[in-house]
Amino acid sequence: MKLNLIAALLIVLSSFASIAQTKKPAQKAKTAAPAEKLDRSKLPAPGSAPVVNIGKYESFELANGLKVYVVQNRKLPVVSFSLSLDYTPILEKDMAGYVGMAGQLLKTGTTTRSKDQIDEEIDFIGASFSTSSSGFYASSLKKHAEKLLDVVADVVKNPIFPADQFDRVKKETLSGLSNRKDDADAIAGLVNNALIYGDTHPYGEPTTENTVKSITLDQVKSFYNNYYRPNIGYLAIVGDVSLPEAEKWANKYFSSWPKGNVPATKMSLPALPAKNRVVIVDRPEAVQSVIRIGMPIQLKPGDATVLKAKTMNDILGGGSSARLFDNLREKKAYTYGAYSSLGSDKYVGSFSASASVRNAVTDSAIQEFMNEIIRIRDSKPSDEEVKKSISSQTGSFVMSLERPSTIASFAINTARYGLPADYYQNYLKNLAVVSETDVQSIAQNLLKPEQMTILVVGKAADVAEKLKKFGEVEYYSVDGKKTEANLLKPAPAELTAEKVLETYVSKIGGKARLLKVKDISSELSASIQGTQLSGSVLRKAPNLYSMTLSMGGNVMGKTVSDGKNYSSTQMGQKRDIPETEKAQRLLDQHLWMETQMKELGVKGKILGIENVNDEAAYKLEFTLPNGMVFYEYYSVETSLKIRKTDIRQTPNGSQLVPVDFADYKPVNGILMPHKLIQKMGPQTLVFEVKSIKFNSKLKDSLFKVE
Amino acid sequence: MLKTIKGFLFVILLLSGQVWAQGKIQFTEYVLPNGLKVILHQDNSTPIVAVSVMYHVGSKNEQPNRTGFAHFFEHLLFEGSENIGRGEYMNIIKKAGGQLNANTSNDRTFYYEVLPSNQLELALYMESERLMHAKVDIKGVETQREVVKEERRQRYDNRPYGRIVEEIVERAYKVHPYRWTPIGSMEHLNEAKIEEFIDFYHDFYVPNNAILSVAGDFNNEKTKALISKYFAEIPKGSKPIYRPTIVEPPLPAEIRDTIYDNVSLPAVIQAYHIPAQGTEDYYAINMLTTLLSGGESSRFNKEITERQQKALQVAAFPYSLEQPGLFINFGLVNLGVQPHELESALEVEIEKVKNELITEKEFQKLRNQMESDFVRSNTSMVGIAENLANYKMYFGDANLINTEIDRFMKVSREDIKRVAQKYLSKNNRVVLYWMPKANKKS
Repeated sequence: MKLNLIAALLIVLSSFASIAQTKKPAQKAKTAAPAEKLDRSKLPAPGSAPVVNIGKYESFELANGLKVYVVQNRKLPVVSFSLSLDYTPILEKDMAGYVGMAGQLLKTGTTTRSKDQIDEEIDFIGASFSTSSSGFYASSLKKHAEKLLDVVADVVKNPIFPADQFDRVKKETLSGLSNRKDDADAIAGLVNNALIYGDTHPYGEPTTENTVKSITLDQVKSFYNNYYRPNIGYLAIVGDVSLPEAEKWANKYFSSWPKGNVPATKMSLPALPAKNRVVIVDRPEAVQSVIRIGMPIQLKPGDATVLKAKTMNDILGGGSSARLFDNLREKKAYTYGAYSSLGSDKYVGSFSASASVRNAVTDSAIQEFMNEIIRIRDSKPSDEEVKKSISSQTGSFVMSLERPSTIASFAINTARYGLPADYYQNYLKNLAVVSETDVQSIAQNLLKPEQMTILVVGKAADVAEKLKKFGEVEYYSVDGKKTEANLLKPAPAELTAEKVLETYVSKIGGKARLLKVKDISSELSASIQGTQLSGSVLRKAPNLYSMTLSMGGNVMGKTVSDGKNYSSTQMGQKRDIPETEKAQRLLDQHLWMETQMKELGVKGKILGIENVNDEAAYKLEFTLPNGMVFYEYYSVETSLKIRKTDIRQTPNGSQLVPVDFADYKPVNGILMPHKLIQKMGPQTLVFEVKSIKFNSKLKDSLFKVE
Repeated sequence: MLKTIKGFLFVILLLSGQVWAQGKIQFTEYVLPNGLKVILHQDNSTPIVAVSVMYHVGSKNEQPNRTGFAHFFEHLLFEGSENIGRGEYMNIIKKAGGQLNANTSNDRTFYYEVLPSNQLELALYMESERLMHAKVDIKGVETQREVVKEERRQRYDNRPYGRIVEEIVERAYKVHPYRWTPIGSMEHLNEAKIEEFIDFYHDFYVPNNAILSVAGDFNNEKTKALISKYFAEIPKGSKPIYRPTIVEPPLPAEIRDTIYDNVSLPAVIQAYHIPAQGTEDYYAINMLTTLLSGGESSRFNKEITERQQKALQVAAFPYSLEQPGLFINFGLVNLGVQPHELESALEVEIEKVKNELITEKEFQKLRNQMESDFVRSNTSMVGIAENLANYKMYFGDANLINTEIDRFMKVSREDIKRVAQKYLSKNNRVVLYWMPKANKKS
């Protein structure tokens, strides 16, 4: 849960949203201006093209193999240091996520400095410093450069990865992952990578709750020991610095950083599918489909075809004046924006086209994507399209030279990717000659409209049927694992809701035994981002109820019901139970409600078989006397109730909030769930049942409503 | 002791003096006969040029029943001109290899393009068209009304905590036009007639209300000639420009309120009235906000976020404006913490800074942070063009781009304590609890 608050608050300075403009051609013909007056009807012609000089750099190598690149720019008394480590991407397997975590943890303690000390020293000189698994960035005023280097070098050479910081970062990562489950774009990114690269490829393997939980501190440390080595490092020193100074600093601070044998693995090349794959990640509540159409491509930085490929992508989907945007938004109004991207990579690059569209037009939008991909292969683009793209790419290139760090990255890219020494010198010249024919032929070489992976993250019930025309539909989970379609399958004809309930009741202990229980006291515990919560639930026949939630001995919330009314407090404030929730709550509070649905005026109906957490379950629909509807799911295999849906009032209106039951264990001969999982918005709450007691003769006064 | 400190400070001032000499930003400024102020910063190191125009009109120049006009014009003025077809403005700049954007604040509206330097003349032409005879017609107004409504939904209404500033200012100000924000009211935009839009354009989009600021790779003399070619013929505005002189009276007492929104975590907001930017106290206040929340070692972050874990994030920042603005503290409550506990934690830190002089070491850290931020604020051509125009517009002195740091360096430890005592008082503030809707009593 990281919010950029300042950004959120300062949006008062409201920027002009360029893509929100409508486009109209047609320019009115102007009457000629009087001779002595300026003729404003024509756009001024550009001057002769400026000479584009790429600034100079110097480089040297330390004895430990660290390659240093120096770009001097004395405009401001500022100097920056940035390190990039060049190792083969790592397959993290069942601890996926540890590499990123190591980068985050680097700056949280060294053999001689605590995190507080590091923070204090960096702020004291007004510097900035961040670390990642692939290097660091640090910058300060020139006069503080050595103080900064002292901290940076310490962090790079002597980190200790404190256990408490490890726990903190792990928790943060886990809460980040639980947010991801509600973020369709994040799901699409993860599943798309798993699909096009494969989930056993470093670019494709998903980081999940399970893999993060398995990460050990030793694994984090071993990443650092194996990979954080100077002999695979490129250090850029940019700004107000001379070569002798840079040499002095590099030697003083980094020459004692020991080199090591960095493991080199071979990267496998992902294969293209024989024909288009169609994959759905089902989100039953979705009102929009996130579409990704993609494939891995062989395109390395510096390849002769890179500029042609970039131009091709720019014309296809590079922005708000490209074909995809024009077709899917301006002409068809399917979406707020449609784009494509194409990336070169030392190992394996990728192509991806994407948009978010409303459910009903999902298949039509995919069809238009495919049409545009086919069109850019089948015919040459217009001369104007190519010229506009070249001109805008030229402008971006020239503007990037304003930052002296660009010159350092050019130099480092040249070394890392083995580019010709004059690659960037000739960049604009080579860009300028890209032709309409080049664009078409590179599109034909790279884009395979018969071998794409079409991914839709959206509501399967609305879209699945219509996607069949693009290929056989497969289903994946939000974690990038293949799964079964979660569509309702018919239940056996003779089965009724009453039967399902009867089987359940006899399975957990039988009606006679259940009805002997007159009250239930249970203790529960849960943890939210490291904070322990405990709950105490008291229930008494017919439907008296009391629930107290506390944290560290303090009561956070309490709800009491005498079977008709409620009193409830939350965070010390009185809270009313919304009217919409009351009917189901009162019903649900009945001990063994499943034995008396009819008496309570609830109508049950079996809808079919659906998967709940990969387990087939009968889905029952119940209608309350007030007409409101909720659902329950009973496992086909075990007959146990594995999910119910609570009617809850949320900021977006009344919604069904699922509660899952697991870990059934016998209590005095009755099977009771010992784990309750509630998902509300971005948060998942897992309650563990610590104890259950029957028939403690709870007094009515415990359930008194004030 | 006092002597040593003074000596110490003196050395620092001298040192910083040297630093500025190196990073000094050279510029030329002059005024055209029609009142257009021009600032040129020549830097031929990269063949690009940033052309910008800052208009001294923001939401505070609006009438209370026509809020949102200034920002609306920021959109409308991309619609085209007598010579530029509707919707062509952006296309022309993109074809020339350039980028463009604009933004609006309470006090001013800023437009800019960055292009390869051989397109300087095109950029000047485009900006002169915007100033001289932009297309202000019913069709453009209708189109942009819809776009601005989408913008409002997306950025304010439909975004957690998006309306915070709006909710603060409508309580903090009762009479001053800062009581509304630049996005303004959609009803006002709907009600306004086309004549009102045309009048607004003629009132504020005049050369004597603008600063043309150009930075980058060009030749000063040739550029002056081009500027004269495109801008000299634009007539000076004939009417006085409306600049409100309304003075907001002090709050009678603390204002407290609770807002319910689609958020999952509560937030606590405090907003204190402070003097206008550029005043002596403003510089001390600015440093005070850095003391509280600038960097990971800052007081709010270390104490409230990391040690007590009462907040996921806390920030203090000056909402500095041309006329008296606000000092805003914003804290996002951690799970399981009650808003009033976070508020007490903020209170403890504020009391501390009011009662105890900050240490020499912390003071030195603050000065270093201010210095570093100041130097780094001028790294791009468009940034320099904007800063020059800002200093000229607000303080009448573009050279503050080189010297404003001296004003920060004059601030003493005692000043920081003094402004905390003077402004961070209970009766001078608005406190809002920003609560999840689920907590609202029905």
